[in-house]
Amino acid sequence: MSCSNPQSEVKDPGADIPERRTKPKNNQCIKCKTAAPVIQIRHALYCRECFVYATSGKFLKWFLSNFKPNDVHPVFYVAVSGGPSSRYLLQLLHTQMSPRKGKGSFIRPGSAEKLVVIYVDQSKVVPGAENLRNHIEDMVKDFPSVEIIEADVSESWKGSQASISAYLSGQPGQPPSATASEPTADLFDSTLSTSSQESHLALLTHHIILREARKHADSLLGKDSTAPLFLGTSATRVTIKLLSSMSRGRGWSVGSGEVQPESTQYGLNVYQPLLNTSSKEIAYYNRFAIPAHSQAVVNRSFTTFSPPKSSIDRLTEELVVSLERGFPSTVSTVARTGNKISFAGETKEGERLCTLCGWPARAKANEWKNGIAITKLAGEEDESNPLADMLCYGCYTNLTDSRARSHVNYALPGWTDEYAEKQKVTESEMRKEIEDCLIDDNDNDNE
Amino acid sequence: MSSVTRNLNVEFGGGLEILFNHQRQIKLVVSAQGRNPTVRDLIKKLADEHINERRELFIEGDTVRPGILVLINDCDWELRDELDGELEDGDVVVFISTLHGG
Ligand SMILES: [Zn+2]
Ligand SMILES: [Zn+2]
Repeated sequence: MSCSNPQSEVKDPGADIPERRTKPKNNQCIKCKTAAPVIQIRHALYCRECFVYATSGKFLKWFLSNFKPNDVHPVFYVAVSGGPSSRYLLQLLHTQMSPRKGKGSFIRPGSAEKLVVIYVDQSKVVPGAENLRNHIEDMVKDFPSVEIIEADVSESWKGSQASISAYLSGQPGQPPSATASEPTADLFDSTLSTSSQESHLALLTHHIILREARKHADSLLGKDSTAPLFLGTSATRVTIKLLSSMSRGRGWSVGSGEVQPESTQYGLNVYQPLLNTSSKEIAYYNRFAIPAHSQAVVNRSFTTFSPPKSSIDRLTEELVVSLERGFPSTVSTVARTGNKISFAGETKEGERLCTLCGWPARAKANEWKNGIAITKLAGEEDESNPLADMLCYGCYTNLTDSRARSHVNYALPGWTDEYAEKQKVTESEMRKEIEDCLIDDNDNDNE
Repeated sequence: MSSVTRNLNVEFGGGLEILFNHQRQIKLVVSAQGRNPTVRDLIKKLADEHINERRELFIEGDTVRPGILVLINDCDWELRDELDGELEDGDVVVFISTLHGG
């Protein structure tokens, strides 16, 4: 007699030893049991029709678990890069935003009156990247009501003239042109490593999406109103993000929304419905179900067609796609683990938010860093670093990860002062902190 | 031994076309001595004759890099013997990169 009842045990998918990819034995579609299969997703085989149907069905099931079937929202926000995942997400949202047949002769209304697409143009900071607005217009023209908000990522830290924290060097409160020494570089300065640049780009893009949606919702629905915002992060992407975030020192904040299927950010309900969908499923669905004229466009990134060792993200991607090929269930296991991670930091009162990325930050980023890395030579004085009090470890590391500069000299996005204000840092305190940073610059001028 | 030839339509997607001189579709002939040409022969020919630079971003050993999907007549090559899959005249072979598929 056995002590345990195996049937009552909760099966944890993460507890299985991953199965190596094997040649499929079965010669039938898992759904219709008649057609010859054309696709293998993890260890299941599908014919083309069943694959497209099952993929839409998976999304519908997720959608209905979060949205009541007859509710009509005034607006859905969706972030669209024009790439495969966001193209796929648009296609699936379209199925829920057009009126469709319900029970009997009842026609169910679309789930939202309007779709607002937020597109962040990266073409001014990523060499070789294109502005994809025209392509995105093609992708959304079948929606009953749609608006596209286009934001330029290179504007995020410029034009914020009133911002006292926008520039960490030069005269506080002045744009760089007004300073004598013209000291500010941007966050994509070539002295920063590719890893840092791509991390900045991801961070800025994420914030711009949220800020544009917030701004739009404030004016359409009223201040602090909430609305759904959809992001098309796939299982493959979230796995890369999870692993690379940890290796960049962002482990502390990884449980606060970036890798979760649902979260609240900027007062918006942020949904990531594709966290269980691999890039392979997305690529096949797009090929089978999306017309050629409105296909996804793959834009250049900092490491497009670069060797794997060119950045942390690129190397992590190499690891993840190799795992996906050899052991097809491992990636979804990591992605599901990400879903379960929750923030285990301080309580709300003691919580400090990073003024750059807005995620929870451990106190004193530089102390943590000093403890694990050689940051200065013997005999050098221990200087206090106001920047370390403002940033999380990940952002601090990114900003100070410069091979050519020994001091931080970068423009921060205009929103950093908003965050600082939220943390009740007064303007004069901020000004003082920033002025402390200026010492290096004056030193340079006197040379 | 006689040479066996196959006329193929090859397509590239997911940004892979950049490696192939920005061509999304090419027609080519693959041949083998005394046997039917396979996907392995096709991949070698593409890497040897159709990529000007950075061929290592397409090929790894004798197969495609991880992250590149292969479809033969819209069927996942995993269901068709992968590298050893024999090609027929008129087959459509699609290579899709999922790298950087934001
Ligand atoms: Zn079927
Ligand atoms: Zn941060």
